[in-house]
Amino acid sequence: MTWSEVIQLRAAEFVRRLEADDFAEDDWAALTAWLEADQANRDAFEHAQLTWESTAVDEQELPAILALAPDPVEPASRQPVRELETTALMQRVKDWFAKPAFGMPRPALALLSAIVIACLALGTTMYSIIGPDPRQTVITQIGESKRITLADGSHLQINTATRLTVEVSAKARSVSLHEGEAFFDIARDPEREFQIKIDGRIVAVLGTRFNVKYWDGRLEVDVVEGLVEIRGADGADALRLRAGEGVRITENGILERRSSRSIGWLQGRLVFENASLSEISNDLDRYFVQDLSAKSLTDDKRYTGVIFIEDLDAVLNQLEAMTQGDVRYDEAEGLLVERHEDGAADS
Amino acid sequence: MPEPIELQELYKTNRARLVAFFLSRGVDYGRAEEFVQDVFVRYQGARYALDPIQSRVALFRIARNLFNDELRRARVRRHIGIADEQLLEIAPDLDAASDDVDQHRTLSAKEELARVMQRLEALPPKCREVFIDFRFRSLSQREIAQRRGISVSMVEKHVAHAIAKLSAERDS
Repeated sequence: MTWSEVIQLRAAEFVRRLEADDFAEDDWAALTAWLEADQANRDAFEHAQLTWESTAVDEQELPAILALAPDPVEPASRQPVRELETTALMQRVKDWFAKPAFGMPRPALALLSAIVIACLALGTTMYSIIGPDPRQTVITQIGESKRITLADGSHLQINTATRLTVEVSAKARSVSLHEGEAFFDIARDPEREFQIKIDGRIVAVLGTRFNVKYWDGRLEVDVVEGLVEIRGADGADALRLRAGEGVRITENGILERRSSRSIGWLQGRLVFENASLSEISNDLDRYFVQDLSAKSLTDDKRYTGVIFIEDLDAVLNQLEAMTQGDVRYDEAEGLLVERHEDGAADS
Repeated sequence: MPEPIELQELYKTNRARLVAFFLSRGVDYGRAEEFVQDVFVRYQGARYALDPIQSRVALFRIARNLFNDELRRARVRRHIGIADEQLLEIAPDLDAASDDVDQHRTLSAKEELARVMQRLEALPPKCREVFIDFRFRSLSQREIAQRRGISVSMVEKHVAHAIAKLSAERDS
């Protein structure tokens, strides 16, 4: 793939999300940073937008367009469906029905999609998650992301290098997050609180969407929708977060409230706003086998920008561009090194 | 013929797209929002009765005109150093690029569909399938690769090619 194709695809992903009416605050931050970075990005975006605009059709005409690209019927689909493929399929069904129109009112569509998803879920996923033992541990490898559906209809998108244990029974719903990050889309159930247990702390909800990251002893919770309660081990220091709010709790229990951080990783990108080099490298490190978490990086400069999670070379290129060359990857040493000021023209 | 679309609805569905349109032309966020307001003021002033797709075309035409007007005025101002009001007096047409969509665009929804289908059919078959999966089925690159039995980088190649082809056609 050439560089211009890479850029074109990033632009197309942005335009597609704009189209889906699915643009959140952090999407704007990512798009603005990306457009500002390079004229080539702006050109690619313009082309993508022009293409989308000039191929816009009424939604009831969609079947005619789709008929131009019929579904491939492959013998491969006869094989037993694996869990991940099923959840991808369910997502597709959900996405499909989540779109308005098709001449049907939304509630009817929602019901229909719920039925379709329930049928799909009964087939494989539900059983594989619940199984004979209600406890199940899920692990993602470095660079891997998994989507799982729980028996109660909740969805988890699990990010890189994560280990968690799921337990759903008739009485309780819980996930123990040992390490890593996940986005939770929790089905509403006033009878059964959903608990996420992290090293003695409990994040409790009834039904909502939010992100939890536990890495390097730091816990971060960011709420997209609904209400989330964080309790200490003794239940005393309860903290409530609403949509758009977030919190970071350090190893020593220092609590820092802030507005909800970007959850761009769901779209395969990381958005940094006034982040230090060590924060950036620590975050990137989770996605690669190579060691990117250089502990010696200085923290006096702040950077803003977006990095698309692709292969290591592409990420390092973006990192170098975002920091204007302040940091680069030393292949011989196998780690990130800072530019020394002696030879540099930088003030 | 679909019902003409309400302004409120139109604003809701197109605001983000239009802001992005101005952002991609190097305008900062605040100014982009002002531009978008102007687009809707002009749109309302013209009292179009258009269906959703036609009104979307109209909005983008107005956006493009507004942006070009701004560029042109900035250029004139730089050259001869006069204020906006004076400029309007001596060259009123500078402010009046045609937003006349009806002239350019009286295609019915059916004709519009036929035109889009024709352009899609002009793409190479594999490229067309992948582009439709991406654009109209909203599948992820990985899902498309699995479905069509090709690599993710082939998916990217096809989508990039389709965009290059379709956006070039539109320019001419």
